[in-house]
Amino acid sequence: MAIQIPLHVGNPDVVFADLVDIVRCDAGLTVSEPTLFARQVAYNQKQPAVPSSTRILEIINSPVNVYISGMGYNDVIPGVGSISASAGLTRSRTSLEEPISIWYDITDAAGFHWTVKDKDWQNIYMPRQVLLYHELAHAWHDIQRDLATNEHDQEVQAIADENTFRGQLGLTLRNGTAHKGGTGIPDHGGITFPKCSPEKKGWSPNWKCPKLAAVATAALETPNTIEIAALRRARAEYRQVSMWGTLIAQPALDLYSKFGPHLARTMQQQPALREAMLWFVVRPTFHLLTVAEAYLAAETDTPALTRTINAILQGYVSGMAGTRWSAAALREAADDARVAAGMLTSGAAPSTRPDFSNPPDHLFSNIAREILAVNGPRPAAFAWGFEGLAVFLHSAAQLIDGSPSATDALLSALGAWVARIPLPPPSELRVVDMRHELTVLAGRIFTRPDTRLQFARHLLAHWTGASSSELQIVLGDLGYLDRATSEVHHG
Amino acid sequence: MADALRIADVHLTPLQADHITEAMLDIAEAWFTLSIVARNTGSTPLFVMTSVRRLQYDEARRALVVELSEQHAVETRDAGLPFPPRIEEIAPGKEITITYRLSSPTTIVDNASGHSRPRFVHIPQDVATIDCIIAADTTPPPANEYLVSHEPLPDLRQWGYVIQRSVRADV
Repeated sequence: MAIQIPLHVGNPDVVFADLVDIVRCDAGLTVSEPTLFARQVAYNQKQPAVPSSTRILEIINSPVNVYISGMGYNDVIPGVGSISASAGLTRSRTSLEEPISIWYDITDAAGFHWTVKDKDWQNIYMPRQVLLYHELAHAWHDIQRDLATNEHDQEVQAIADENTFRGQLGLTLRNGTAHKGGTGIPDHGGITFPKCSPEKKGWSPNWKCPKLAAVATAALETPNTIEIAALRRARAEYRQVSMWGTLIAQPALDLYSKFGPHLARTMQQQPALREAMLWFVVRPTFHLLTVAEAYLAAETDTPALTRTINAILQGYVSGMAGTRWSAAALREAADDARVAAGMLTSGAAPSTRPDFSNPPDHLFSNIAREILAVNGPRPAAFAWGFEGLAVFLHSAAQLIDGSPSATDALLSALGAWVARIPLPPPSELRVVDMRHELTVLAGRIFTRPDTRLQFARHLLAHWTGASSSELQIVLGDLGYLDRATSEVHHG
Repeated sequence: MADALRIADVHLTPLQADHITEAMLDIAEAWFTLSIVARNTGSTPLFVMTSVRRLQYDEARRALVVELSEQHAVETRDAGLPFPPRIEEIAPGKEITITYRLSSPTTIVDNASGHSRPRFVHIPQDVATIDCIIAADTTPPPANEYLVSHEPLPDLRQWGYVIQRSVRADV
């Protein structure tokens, strides 16, 4: 079986980085996404074995699934309470078929630092990686079926294993029998963890999802811009708006981590591509976000909203005036964005390696090819994003051409586009979740009645199974549908 | 008597940016400090639990329930780091401020439906009320500073009294 990291609660980047530290940067530790919602860790040892890497190998080669979730300090675990009461938890199996679940705090006690006791009862640091190793020790003894019979002896067992890891790293050993611990500055030893260096040249030990802004930073040539700040804020806000939000956003961010860095490097090598990405992708994405949020914040279309959206569109177009591109280029890019969205939706296999030699020609379809070249599941978020960019770019082209209806056209297309937001796959659209999810979405995203209705239709069209009538009732209860629209049917 | 304990104040303040580490930013868009001022209005020393042992979210009341008490602790088969709670003494007429860092959102993992699903509780949007529950007594729990392997953690479910105060969650 394997170590699995759930994406919707697991903070997979941090967990995997900690596992990399535990195997001491052995490049044989790899990760794959067998589904949109979990990362599976595999290990083919490439460096000489050390006790901690052997332990990971044994767990991965065992017949038991171990789920690891990186949690926040005050996050709440089912049946237990806040993680802050114990730093980490391992839920052992009650039957052989069950998986083992591990939750551990990845925030180092919200910045206060976890400490435990050494042999002299002095406070020593409990680094995040050691904490995970401690929990994995519990899991290992469960797998071995030699778990001690009571909680306190289980701790002694895990502390002994933890001390093997501490000894391997040259860290002060923990008192072998003491439970006492808490938060604060350690009495000695500091708050550092000995990072590893890979033996394989060229392999980065700091495996982590690249910063959201890798492409935007390459385009803007600095991370300190309002565009990047806005994109970061949006990522944080929408990824955790609700479970459905996470199930949509996290796979997209994961996919981005695959093609984003390569695209950013290509941009750094090709100034013309960088400039095209800046004006046709990065700045429009920032403006589209601003426009969409202004639209959603309004109860209805008002002259004030029209003025706001017009000002945003004008701001973008004014910037474009200083470039070599015309309305025709924007229109072509908009058309290409629609083509790219279609490619992503259909999953058409990439024909050739993307050719970015003459940007912005085929800019979006080339990005789509980059995305399609990535192995693994492909979330719908990028196709939806390209559709939104197509709408924005087309309206900008209209404005440059002097069309008086450019802003109105954007405004009228926005609602339909927002309401077509990608949904989690049917297997994840569960009746038990729908009332809570739809309540959150109605309160945070779909505050406009007209957009709520459009979203309700979109959701009903994608809802499978026999529960669509129940969904309609919930949609009616929450103000998505009213009597006049109750004729909306599944399908 | 323990009923001399008063929760004099409960408030939330945004955590300053220089206290927010990269790891904290990885999991939440904002962080707050929850401050609880506990005052001994009696004439004898009081011992109060100052560790948050349980956190719950009451969706119907939009209430975050913060328990510095083990009275509702449940039996669990989970292993981990069973840290004992901190107990602090408050002299007569004095007060202490207990602080606890809260992330927004706070993730509540719920498996009531048979599958694990997160609920994201955003502060202040989802939190209208904060319920604070604190355990206290005129005598401390059995001294157990140096817990060893065969010495169980003190069972503090029966220790002391609890007092509760609910306040509107103003940030």
